[in-house]
Amino acid sequence: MTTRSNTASVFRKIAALALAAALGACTTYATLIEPGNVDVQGKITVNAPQKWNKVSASGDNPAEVWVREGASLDSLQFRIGIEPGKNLVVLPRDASEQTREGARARANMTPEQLVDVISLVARSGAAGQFKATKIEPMQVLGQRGVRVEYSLIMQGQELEYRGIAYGASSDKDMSLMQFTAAKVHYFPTLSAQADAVMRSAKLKTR
Amino acid sequence: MACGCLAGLFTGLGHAQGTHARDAGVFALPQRMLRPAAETEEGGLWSLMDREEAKLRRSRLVVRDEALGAYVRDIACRLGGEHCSDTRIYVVRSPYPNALMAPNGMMQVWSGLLLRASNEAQLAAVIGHELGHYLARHTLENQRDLKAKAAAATFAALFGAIGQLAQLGLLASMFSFNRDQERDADRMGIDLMAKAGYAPAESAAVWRNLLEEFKTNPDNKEGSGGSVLFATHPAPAERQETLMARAQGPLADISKDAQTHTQRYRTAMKQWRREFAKDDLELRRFAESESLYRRMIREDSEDADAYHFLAETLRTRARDGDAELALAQYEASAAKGGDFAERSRGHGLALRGLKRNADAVAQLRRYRELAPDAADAALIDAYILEMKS
Repeated sequence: MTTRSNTASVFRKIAALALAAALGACTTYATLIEPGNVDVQGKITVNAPQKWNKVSASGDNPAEVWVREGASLDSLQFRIGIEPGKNLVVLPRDASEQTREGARARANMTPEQLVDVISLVARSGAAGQFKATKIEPMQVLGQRGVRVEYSLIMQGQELEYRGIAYGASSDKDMSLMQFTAAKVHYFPTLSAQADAVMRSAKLKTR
Repeated sequence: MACGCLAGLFTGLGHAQGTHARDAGVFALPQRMLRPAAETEEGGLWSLMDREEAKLRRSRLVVRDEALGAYVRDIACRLGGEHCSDTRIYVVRSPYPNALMAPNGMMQVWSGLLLRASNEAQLAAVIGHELGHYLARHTLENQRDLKAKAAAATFAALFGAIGQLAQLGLLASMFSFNRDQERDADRMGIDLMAKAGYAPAESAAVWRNLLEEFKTNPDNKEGSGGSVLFATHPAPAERQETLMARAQGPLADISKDAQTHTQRYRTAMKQWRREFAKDDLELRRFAESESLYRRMIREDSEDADAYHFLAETLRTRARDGDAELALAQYEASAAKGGDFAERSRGHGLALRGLKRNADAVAQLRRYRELAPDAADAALIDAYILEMKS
């Protein structure tokens, strides 16, 4: 007979897989980000008035990931200056070539194409209900871009999420900044802070 | 087109008290099943599924549309007779073509299946198959097998958590049924649908259509890990042939006046079809989607939605030449009477991409008329302003 512990074990494995997929790679440890101006991926600076935890990610994950309460509850992800052809998100091993193609950075993307990419990154390429609730054209990091507010329900997870994302694309690369958090408590508590961090982003002068 | 349980769906028959599907005659429904005692092996399995059903009931992915739910339930009742009152059907928002049934009478019908079925008879074929598993108590039969014991929790996970793509494939592949069970369930499903007045050949058409879609993507290889659906046995082509032979043989006499109920199906799906197509597009399985929508157009050349779905697929794929191809499909949709917001939006964006600004402005303005509160209103208004200047 199947036991509750068997079921729980399967769910724990699913949760672990989902978390790994969401972060795009194996996370190992976190370092504290102190309030102030912070360098992100060596390409931009942001102003973070509050403390955040920077998650160390390995593998092919091109994102710098910050969290406040825990990766499954909230995450602020930066993908800055990603060149065409580079992966934006680590996909499941059996993801089709078509999905992989969609998850690669492109240059000269239109705002509506950026919204598609923001959806794909939010879902880590998996099935889920992504709904853009507000889309606004905007200059992002000096480039033509878009700001998106969205809701997200992932298959295999009980939580409903909300998010805010900024995307921009030039003729050389593309950038995404994306905050996603559980709809209940975490998004209402943290979204204004995360939005302020993303809005403060400035390209570093070289 | 990864799909867990059209594989799991096509499981088989064990101890049904009706006419056994392996017999030559047409399958007859067994008596209603009593809830097993809690202390029995089967009772434990039911309790486990009851808990998963309680979770599913709360899931935001369940489509809470009374009319759609009633429509699907009515099909199951036509097939299942007095067993209808023992089964609960949940339409689940998931773009994969799938359906699942638990031993306690909980059935899931996934939206990817509703998008792909051409008519009510095809949906009935799948539901009939699922009912076959339930009536035959296959899950219990398998649970009694050592190998399947480890998979029972997986079964719960499939129902409760549904699972992300990769997990779904893994879990579904673990929860496999033997060849005889698959064949028996195929036969029960087609017999039930024929007796309910549905055209039994549509059962074979389900497989034919899925195979056609599957083969368009070179990533998919039959018998490989590309899709759990097509990694199971018997092979889909064999099942398609077997079902067609039964439709044209033993079932021919009782299905002389059989119906597909195509129009009734379209009416029932009308409100949801565009939403389900949007979900499908998010999978970015462009080859499969293109094949699906070209089939829809073949089946009904007046289907304005199908041209629009194809156009959206091509515009989103955005390979060289896709903008022109998409534009032709938007135009076809408009010509077939497709005057709805999403079509105008996509049409306008395609025109804008081709720098046909005056035409693009007209389409995007129409979009704003039809969707004044659209989420992307600010973006579209900026486009209109930019193109006018």
